[in-house]
Amino acid sequence: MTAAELLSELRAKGIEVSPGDGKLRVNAPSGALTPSLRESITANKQALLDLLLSPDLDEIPLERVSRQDALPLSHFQERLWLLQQLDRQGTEYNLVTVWPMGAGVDAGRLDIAIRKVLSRHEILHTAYRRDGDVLKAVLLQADAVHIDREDLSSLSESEQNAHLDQEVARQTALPFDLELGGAFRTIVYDLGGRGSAILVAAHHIIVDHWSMSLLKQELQSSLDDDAYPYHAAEVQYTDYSVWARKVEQTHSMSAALDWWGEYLASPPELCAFDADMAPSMQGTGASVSFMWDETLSSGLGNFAQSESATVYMCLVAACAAMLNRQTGQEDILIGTAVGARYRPEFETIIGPFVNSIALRLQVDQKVSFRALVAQAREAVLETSSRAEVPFEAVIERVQPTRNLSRSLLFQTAVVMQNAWEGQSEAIHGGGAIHDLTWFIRPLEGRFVGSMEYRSDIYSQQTIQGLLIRLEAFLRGAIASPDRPIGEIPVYVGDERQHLIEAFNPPASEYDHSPVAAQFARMASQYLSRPAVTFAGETFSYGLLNARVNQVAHRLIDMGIGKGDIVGVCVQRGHGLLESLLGVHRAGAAYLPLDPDFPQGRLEYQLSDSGAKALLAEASFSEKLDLPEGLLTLDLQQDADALAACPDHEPDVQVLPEDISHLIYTSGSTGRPKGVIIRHGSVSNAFSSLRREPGIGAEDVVAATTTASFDIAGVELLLPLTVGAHIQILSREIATDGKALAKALDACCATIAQATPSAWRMLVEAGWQGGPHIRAITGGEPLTRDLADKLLSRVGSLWNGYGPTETTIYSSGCFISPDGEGISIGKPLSNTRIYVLDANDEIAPVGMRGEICIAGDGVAVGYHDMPAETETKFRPDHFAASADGAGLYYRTGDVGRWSSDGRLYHLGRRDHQVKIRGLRIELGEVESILLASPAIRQAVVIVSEAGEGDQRLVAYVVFEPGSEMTASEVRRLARDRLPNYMVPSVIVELTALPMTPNGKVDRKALPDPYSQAMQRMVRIPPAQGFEADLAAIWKDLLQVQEIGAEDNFFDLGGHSILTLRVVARVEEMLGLSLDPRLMFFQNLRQIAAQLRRDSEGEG
Amino acid sequence: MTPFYFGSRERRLFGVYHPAQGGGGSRAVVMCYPWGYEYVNAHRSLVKLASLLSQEGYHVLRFDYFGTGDSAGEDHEMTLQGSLSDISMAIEELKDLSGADHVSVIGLRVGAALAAQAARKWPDDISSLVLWDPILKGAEYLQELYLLDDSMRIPGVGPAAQFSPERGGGREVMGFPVTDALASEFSGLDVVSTISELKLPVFMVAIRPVPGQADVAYELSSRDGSGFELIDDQPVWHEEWPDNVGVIPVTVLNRIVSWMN
Repeated sequence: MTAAELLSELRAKGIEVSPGDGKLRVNAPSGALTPSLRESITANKQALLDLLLSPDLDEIPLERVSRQDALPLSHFQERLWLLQQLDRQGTEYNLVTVWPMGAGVDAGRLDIAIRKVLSRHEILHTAYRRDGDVLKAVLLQADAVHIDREDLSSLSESEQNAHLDQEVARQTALPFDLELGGAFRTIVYDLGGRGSAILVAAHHIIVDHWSMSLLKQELQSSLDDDAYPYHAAEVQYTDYSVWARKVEQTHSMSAALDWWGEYLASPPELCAFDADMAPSMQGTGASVSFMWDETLSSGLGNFAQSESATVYMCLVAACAAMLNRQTGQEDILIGTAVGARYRPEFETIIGPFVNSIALRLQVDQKVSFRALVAQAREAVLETSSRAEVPFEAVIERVQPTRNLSRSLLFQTAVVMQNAWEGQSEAIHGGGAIHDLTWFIRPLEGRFVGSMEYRSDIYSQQTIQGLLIRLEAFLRGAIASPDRPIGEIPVYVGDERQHLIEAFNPPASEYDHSPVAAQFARMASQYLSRPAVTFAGETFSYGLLNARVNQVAHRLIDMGIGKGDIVGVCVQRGHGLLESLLGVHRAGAAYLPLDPDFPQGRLEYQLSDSGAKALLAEASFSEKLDLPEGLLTLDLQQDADALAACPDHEPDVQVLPEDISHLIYTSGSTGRPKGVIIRHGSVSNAFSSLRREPGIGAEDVVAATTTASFDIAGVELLLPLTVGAHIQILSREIATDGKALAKALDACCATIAQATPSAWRMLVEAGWQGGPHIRAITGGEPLTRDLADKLLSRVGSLWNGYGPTETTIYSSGCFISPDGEGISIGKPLSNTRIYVLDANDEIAPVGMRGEICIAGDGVAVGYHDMPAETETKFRPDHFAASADGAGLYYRTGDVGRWSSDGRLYHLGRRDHQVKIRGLRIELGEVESILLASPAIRQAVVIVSEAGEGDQRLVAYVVFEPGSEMTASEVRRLARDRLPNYMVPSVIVELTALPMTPNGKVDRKALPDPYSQAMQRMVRIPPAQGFEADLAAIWKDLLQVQEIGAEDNFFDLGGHSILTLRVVARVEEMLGLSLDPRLMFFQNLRQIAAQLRRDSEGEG
Repeated sequence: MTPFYFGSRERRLFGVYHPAQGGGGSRAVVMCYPWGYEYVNAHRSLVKLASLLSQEGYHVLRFDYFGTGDSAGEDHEMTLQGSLSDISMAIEELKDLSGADHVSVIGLRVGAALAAQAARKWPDDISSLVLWDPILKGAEYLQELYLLDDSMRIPGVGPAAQFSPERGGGREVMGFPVTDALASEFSGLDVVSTISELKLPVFMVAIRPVPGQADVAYELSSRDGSGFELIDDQPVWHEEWPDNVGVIPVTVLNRIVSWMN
């Protein structure tokens, strides 16, 4: 540990160390100074004193170091060298420019001039190489740089320019070999009458923009002044590198680094505008330019001045505001580049004097622009006084999540460039350095610039849109600086109206008659066609219709009528359809109950709903604690009574406004919610679905979904409205991949619906499908990889979306095998979808918000939950017509529109999850667990056990002395919750990890499946001791492959063999190996010990 | 690996769950440990086996019987009857953890004897069985234990401790108590006849021939889906200092995994 590190550690513990009279004064809070710390302080006393008394930044002289010693790289250079190693073909750090020197300068003179400049500045002929573990700058001879000459004198001016442009493009895309010393290339052009020009191409490892200006000046001086010195400049970049390292060891630098460590602690993993990522996108970088008018430019300047801020601070605030509005992120990191030429001596040195810093802002939609600018100002001031800390050192301290495909720590940068003196020619960069960089600079009273972006992350359209919105935002923000930033309109033109009207279909006509009536029509038309088959038995339309009527009559006789709720808890089969439709024909509404649910849940639903009757097997309903007075009907037991009932349609008028069914969904507070759906909503949904995805009389529909899941309507009822044939598959078959695959083939289904989890199960079971199949998927997000697997197995794939509260599906689309992101499509007929921001206003295209659904599919509300209903079902004031505009339902799903009117699902706002398509409020599971007096705290999360295999994990903290076993906790859950809501793994913790805000830190919960995603990968032994040792093991163990993390015994070794290993190591490496190491250490660890022994460190 | 407690408050059992790697799948394995000193010697290899199976996509549960290891109960409270019911609890727990409808069981030595009994008692829950060097005749096993303990006399230390009736009587074997009740249970083990009653696929692997094995081997080899193999490898439950210290019988482990697959 260095003295600086020790000092940081002490500071972190609140221990103050200061020098005084040559002694070290230690001031520590009681208990903080442990014996080991005391020891460390004593051991490092002198080093600490030296550090504390060390000269400050300004006091360290910049001196020329001996060129005989190993020359270090600066931190910045090290980072760039590593980046180039990782991507040898990378060109994003190429800087290329062409300087026309005018008619007065011929190519010959130019050649000599550049030669002089080259010898004066060492960095232009320096190679960067690795020597063992250390990087070194190696000075080459000045004439190692080859100066190309090209004679363009015979070409016309336009031809010359075209040739130059071409060469610039070529140089920009040509990688540099830094190890060979090729970080600088130059070509001198003879332009004949026009004089000469010089092309300069350099890697950012040796220059920055300032350097390029400097280089041009030097070149000019060299041309003008015969006395331009030939010899190397006194102090060069390499001396700066040495100086910078000395400075790092100073007290003030270590204090500044500590500050950065705290400032950037727990950084957000990703802070970027939503990506457009699609495999079809390629390329490394592109940019879009912009220019603001004088009104905005001067307005911006004036506003900045009035806030005692700079334009840059306002731009940072605007960028942060837009990031928050688009992504919802509140903890924003924005980067910028700062010049690091802190001393006058640096101004004349060619080399990269740049550093990156990150600004952190906390943004929410309610804050005003004025307040945000003040925050930005604060951030800029705080960070710029500590900007000399190398970015690399900050990264090492902060340890942000490393994602190889995104920029490190910050992904979005705002860079204010100053107008360059003498550099009016564009400098061409070979790619985007950050994911997104917004460059702005003043030009003749206006602000101009560009957005440089990675074209494999963002599309040009997105960037163009972003620039327009930033401009709109700034205009609005400057005009109303005290308005909450969430309210500042960033629409483009009549975008708002477009979103409400054009993205939603106009009202259309449909068959309003209830499903049972539509079925009756089909029955009279298709009397003998097969309607439903189960377990080999087929009912025709006529027969099914007759039986439905009998059930209806029986229910009516029992006293069931309009407005009544009837529970249907029937095993899958013909009886299920008879029950559902029979209830409808009687004028009542059905409540589908899954027979596999825990008793308690069924009893709750029956009593909460106020159900008047229950259709179920007597043997089943007898086990339940039924509400008083509940009537029961068993289709089997009462078969005779049913057969005696009339088989014609009962005289009951069912209207679209009447209730069709009541379905319960998970409730966050522990109480399931009963959703009330009208017949009209169902009729509308079916009418739309008949057209797309489409269904006809010739179709065979495989029914696999449980009736208590609302999408089952597509399988059990929709087909009966067109004369199609339903093949009901049992639960056993539906949950067994191989059996389901077989059954689908056997029943010749042309339409099959399932959740993505179920489709995945089918695919994994080897199902091949066929082009005759139309696959429907819903209930969960569909991933691209699954979509592609399905598309190769079916004729078409339709992805539907919609919560229970808006009737089955509210949007959907066919998916194409084009590699694009999966959309949830466009709204169904007579359905309107709004994406609303935090102010319940229409979010502009591409900006995320809550998906809200209006139209004919919206439920009446939640049964007996007026408060909850009022919260979730809001008046639709966006609808054009004021009469009967209705309500919209807040789904809690987050989404955004694409510019062509397709909706994308981005996740949830809350803790609702879906497992295998089934909705689970994590809060409901948690509240069931917390209901036990033994459990003090409980948190439930979803964890990925494998690809597409999500499981619930519960973390519990028990009351001391009341520890339960996992089995007991699970039993608790199982008593009250359906199986799919029972956590798979129960982890006992002594305390829940908390965030600094006092919330449970879900990310810090230990993941029981964390190894589950990795397959064992053998890490090959590295060259050196590892490889030598591996060779010995291979020979003695007679094993093919040895990995660096293998243990000798795990590979089949035993103690006698260890002695032979020891002998061989002695013989071949001349080292003595303790055989005991082989028991528990792995190859890598043992090799490391051998290395230490060989270096005499023991 | 997730360590946790399952079972009931009165009978807290310690288990370690290895989720299936590479995700998905509902193949599950319960591992039944040997007893006493054999547990200590075999532990490392059993962890390795669990790890191999986990990598192959199995959910694995290792656990300690009541009165052993980290489970509740004193060591003299351990009984074979109780351990058998613990296996049942482990099976239920693993089914819950993994979502599997049934499990395979792998047992070593006494664990194998118990596993065979479990398979006979709960055929619906257990789909296949691996018996690794099973104790076939309990009486002989008991004698083997006493002999081993007697042969390990440390100079200067007296004969094996004898326990009072309050503590279940019996004597110590390699640091673990063989109470009168346990001795009686051991003696009563007749795994040969248990195996003959089993209908599920059984794989028996042994590192050396023992009395009674030949008949069982023959029977298993002639049954469809079952098998017997004699594999030349180290006795994982027994340490022969210094020859096979720390040894992991890689051949046996690999063979078990490939039979499971």
